[in-house]
Amino acid sequence: MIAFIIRRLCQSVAVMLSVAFIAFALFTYVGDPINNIVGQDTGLREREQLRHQLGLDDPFILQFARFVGHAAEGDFGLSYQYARPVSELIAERLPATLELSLVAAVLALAIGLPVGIYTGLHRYSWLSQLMLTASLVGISLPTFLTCILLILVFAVILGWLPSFGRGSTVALGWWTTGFLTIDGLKALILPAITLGLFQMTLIIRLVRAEMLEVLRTDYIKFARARGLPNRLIHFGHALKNTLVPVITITGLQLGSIIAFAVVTETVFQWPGMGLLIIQAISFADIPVMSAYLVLVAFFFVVINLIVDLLYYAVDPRLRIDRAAASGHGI
Amino acid sequence: MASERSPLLQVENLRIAFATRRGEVTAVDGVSFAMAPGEVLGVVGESGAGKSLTGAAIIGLLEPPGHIAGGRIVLGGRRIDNLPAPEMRRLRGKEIGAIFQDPLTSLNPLYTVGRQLVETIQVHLGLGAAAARQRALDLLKEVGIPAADRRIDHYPHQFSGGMRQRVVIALALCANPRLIIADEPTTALDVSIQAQIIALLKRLCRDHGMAVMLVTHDMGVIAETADRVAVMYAGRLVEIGPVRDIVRQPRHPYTAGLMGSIPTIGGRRDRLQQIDGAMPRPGAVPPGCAFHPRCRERFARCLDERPNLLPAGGGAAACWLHAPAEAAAVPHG
Amino acid sequence: MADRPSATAEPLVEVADLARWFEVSPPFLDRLIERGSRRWLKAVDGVDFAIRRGETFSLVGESGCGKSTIARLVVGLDAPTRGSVRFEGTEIAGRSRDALKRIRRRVQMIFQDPYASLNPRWRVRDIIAEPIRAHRLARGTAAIAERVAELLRQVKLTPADGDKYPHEFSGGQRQRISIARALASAPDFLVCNEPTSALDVSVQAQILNLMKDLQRDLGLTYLFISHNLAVVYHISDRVGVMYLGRLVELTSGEDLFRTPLHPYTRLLIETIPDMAMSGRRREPVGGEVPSPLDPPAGCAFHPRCPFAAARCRREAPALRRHGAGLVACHAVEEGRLPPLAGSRNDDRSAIPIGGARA
Repeated sequence: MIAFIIRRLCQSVAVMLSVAFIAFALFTYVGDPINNIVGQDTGLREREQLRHQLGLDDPFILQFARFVGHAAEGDFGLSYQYARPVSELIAERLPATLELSLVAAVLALAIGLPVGIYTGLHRYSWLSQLMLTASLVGISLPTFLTCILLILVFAVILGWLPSFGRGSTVALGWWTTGFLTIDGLKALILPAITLGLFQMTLIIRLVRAEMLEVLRTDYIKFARARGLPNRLIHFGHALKNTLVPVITITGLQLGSIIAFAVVTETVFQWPGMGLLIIQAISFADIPVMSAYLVLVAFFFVVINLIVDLLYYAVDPRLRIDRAAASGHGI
Repeated sequence: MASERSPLLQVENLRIAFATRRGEVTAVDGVSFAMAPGEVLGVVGESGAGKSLTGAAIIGLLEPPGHIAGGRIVLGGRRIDNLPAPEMRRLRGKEIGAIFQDPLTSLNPLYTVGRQLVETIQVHLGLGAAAARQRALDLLKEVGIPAADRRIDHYPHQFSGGMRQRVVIALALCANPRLIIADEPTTALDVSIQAQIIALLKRLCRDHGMAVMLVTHDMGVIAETADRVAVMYAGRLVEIGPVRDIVRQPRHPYTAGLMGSIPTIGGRRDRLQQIDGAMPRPGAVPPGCAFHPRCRERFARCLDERPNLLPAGGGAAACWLHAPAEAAAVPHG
Repeated sequence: MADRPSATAEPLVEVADLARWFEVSPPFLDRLIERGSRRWLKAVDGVDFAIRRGETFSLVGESGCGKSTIARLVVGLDAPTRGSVRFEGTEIAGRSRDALKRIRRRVQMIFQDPYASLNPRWRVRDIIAEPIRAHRLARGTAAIAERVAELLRQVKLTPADGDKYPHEFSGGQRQRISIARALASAPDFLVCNEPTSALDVSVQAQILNLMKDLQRDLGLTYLFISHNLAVVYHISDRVGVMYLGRLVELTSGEDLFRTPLHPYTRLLIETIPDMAMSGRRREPVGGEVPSPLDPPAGCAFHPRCPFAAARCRREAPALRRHGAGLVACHAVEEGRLPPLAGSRNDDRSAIPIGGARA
C-alpha cells in the first residue's frame, strides 16, 4: 500500500516534470522573450546584457531547473497581456472554473448514475428506451450548439436565467463564490448543464453497460438462487461491482470538465480560467498558457491518484495479498 | 426406499422453450420425474441435453428468453412453476437451495463470506445480527472450513477452490432447504477435492434429510453419490431408475452407449465403445425417438413414433424395445 | 501393420533436469519497503523423462502441478529456466525459430479448447492447409486440396466439411479439425494438452479412439497431458505422475494403476469415483495441493502424506528405480510403506484393479 502510493507519487512527479518541460519549451521556442520586454530600438548589446541578467543565456538544463523551482512556488512570472503576476490572474479565475466544474460533475453523476442503473435493470421498458435515445442526442450535440439552444430557450424566450456572467459573488478570503447568492446560483445553472451534459450521457451509458455485464455474472445468479430480494441484489451486489470502471471514467471526466470548460466559458462569458486561456492564446501570452498547462496537468494527476486510492477502498482483492492469506491462489 | 413415501418434488411433463427470431425452440420436452424427501437423484446427460435447464426451471431461474412452456412443477404438494416472482423469490434459498459449478465465480468478490452468509440467513430466518453471525459460523464449521471464526471475515479470493465450494454449500444450507439443486458441483475442482466435496454433500444430505438433485455429466460422481439416476438426451428423459441398475445394466441404448464410452481403470485398454454422430441441437430433433439416427437397435416404429417411459428393469426407459409387444420379439440386455 | 509399431529403445524425446521458474516477485519498491525477497513460482523444477518412438507417454496431475508448462516447453513455445529438451538427440530448448524449423514440422500440439484454437474467420480447408503451405509440403492448389481432403478423411470428416467455418461444427468435430491441422505437417510427435477435457464422454470416446487409430496408422508418438486418470490409464503406455512441479512416480500404465507406489499416486487413484458400484467406501483425503509459490520443505507431499517421517520433512526425495518403475519417496525407499489396500477395506477385489500387490 505505502509502496503503491510512493510509486504513484513518483509517476505523478514524472508526469508533472514532462508537462513542465513542454510549458517551458513554449517560452524558449515560441518567440524570443527579450522581444516582448524591450522596445524595437534597443541595441544588440543591451539585449545581450538583459539576456545575461535574466539568465537566458544559461545552459538549457539550468534554465529549466529554475523554471521548475519557480513553478513549484506558484510563480510563473508576469502576464504579457496584463503585466500582472500570472499566479494572481489564475487565483482570481480559479474559483469560477472549479465551482462550475464541480456543479457540472455533481449534476452528471446525480443524474447519470440513477438513469444508468435504471436503464441497466429495466432494459426493455419504454422509459429506458426513451432515456437512451435522449442520451444519444445529448452525446451527439456539439457543446456550442447546446449552449446556444439553452440560452435561446431559458434566457431569451423564457427570460428565467441569465445568459452570461457569474452573477454576484461573495468573497471568502481570496476565494470568490457564487454559491451564496441567488443571483450567482441562477447564473450557474445553464453553464453547468451545458458542461455536464456530455459527461452525463457518458456515465449513463457506462453504468448501464457495466450493470448489464455484472447482472450476467454467476454471483448475481447465485444471489438470486439464495433468494435475496431484488433490492439487495441490484444495489448491494451489482452496483458495487460496477463501481471500479465508473470511478475510473468519472475521475478522468472530472479532469476533462476542468480542462475543456473553455468553450462553455467562452459562450457564457464565464469569468473562469477557460476564458482566460482563450484570451491568452489570442494574445500569445505565454506565461499564462504555460501556467494553465501545468495547472491542468496537476489536476489530472491529483484526480488520478484519488481514483487509484478509491480502487483500494472498493476492491478487497487489491487490499489483501492473496498469497499471504491462504496460499493456493494460482 | 424413497418411492413409497409421498414425493417431495414432482415434475410433470415439463417443457422448456426459447423464443427466437425463428419461433419457439423446444429445449426440454416432456420431462417427468419425482423425488422423495432425502433422496439423491442424479441427472446425467451431455452438454445441451437440457439437464441444467431442468434444474433452473425448478428453482425458477430460467434466463429469458427461456421459459416454461408447459407442464407442472410441484414441491411438497404446492405447485411452484406459476408462482408470482416475489413468492418464488421467498421459496428460493428457503425451500430450494442451489449450488453452481464454478466456486470461483459464485461468490461476490467484494464482500466477505461472512457478510454473504449473514445476509442470506437474515433474509430467510429473520435472525438478529449476532444470532445470524453465530449461525454463519456454525455453517462454516459444518462444511469443514478450518479456523472458521477467523475465515468468516475473509474475502472469497482468499479461499482455495475447494474451500470456496464449501462456502457455496454453506450458503445453500443457510435456511435448511428441503431440496438442493447442485449443478455440476465438482466439475471445476481437482480430482482429490472432488472426492472431498462429494463426501461432504453425502454427509449433509444424510444429516439434514435434504434431497439433492445432482446435475452432472460425470457418471462416476453419480455412481458414487446418487440413489437414482435420470438420463437425459436431446431435451428428453430417456431412462430413470436406481443407480445400481443403470450403471450395471442400462436399458436404453443411449445409456448403454454412454456407459460403454467411459474409460475405466482396470478395464480393457483397446477401443472404447463409441456412439457415432452427435446429439441433435434443440430445434433439430428428429421425429420419433430422438436417438434413432444413432441407435444400432432402431426399427420402423422408432422412426416416427416417440416412445414414452416404459417399465424396464428396476426403472423405466423411453425405448420401444421395452414395449410389451417388442420386448417379446427383440431380446435385449 | 498388425499392431502399433513396437516401441523401440531409442528415445524420440528426452527431457533432462527441465525447470521453468516464473518470477512473481512484488515490484522492487514493495520489496524494499516490506523487506520482501524475490519470489519464484517453480512451475516445473527438475524433471527427467524420455519418450520412446511410437509410444504414448502421459503426464498426470492436478491443476498447478506443471504438466501444461512441460507441454509448452517440449514444443518450444516457452524456453526453460534450466535443463534440456532433445528431439532425436538435437537440443531444442532455447533455440531460434529458424534453427528449429525442421523439427517444428515434426512436433505439433493439440490444445484443450477446440473452440479457442481454431480461427473462426477461416474456412476449415484453409485452417488445415496453412501448415502445408508454411512447410511447403505440397505445391499447387490441386495438390494442397487433395492433401486437405485426405486429412479430413483421416479424422473421419468428409472433404465437403472443408468449405465450412469452425462454428458450424460441434465440439468433438472441432477437435477433429484441430487434429487434422496438427497432422497436416506430417509430424512424428504430437503433444496433446488435455485434448478431451472440454468434451462430453461419448465424444471423448470418439476422439480417444481416433487418436489410437492414427497412432497405429501413422506411427505417431504422443505426449498426453491430462488430469483424468481413467483416460490416462486407457491411452498410455507409460505414465508420469506430477506433484508441484516434480515427477513423483514414473512407470508403465499397467503397473501404475495395479501397484501404485507413491502415496500421492495412491491418493489420486483412491479419489476416482467407483464406477463398478462395489460399495467400496472411499475415504476422501484431507487437504489440498499447497501453493506452488510456497511449497513445503523436503518432500512437497509430506503435509498430506500419511507415511511422512522426519526425513520427509527435511529432505526432498530423488526419483529412484524401484521394481519396474521410478518413484520419489523416502518411505518406498526405506521399505516402510505399507502394502496397498492397507488403509482401506479389502473390498477392492470387486473392481478389476484391486487385489494385486507389489
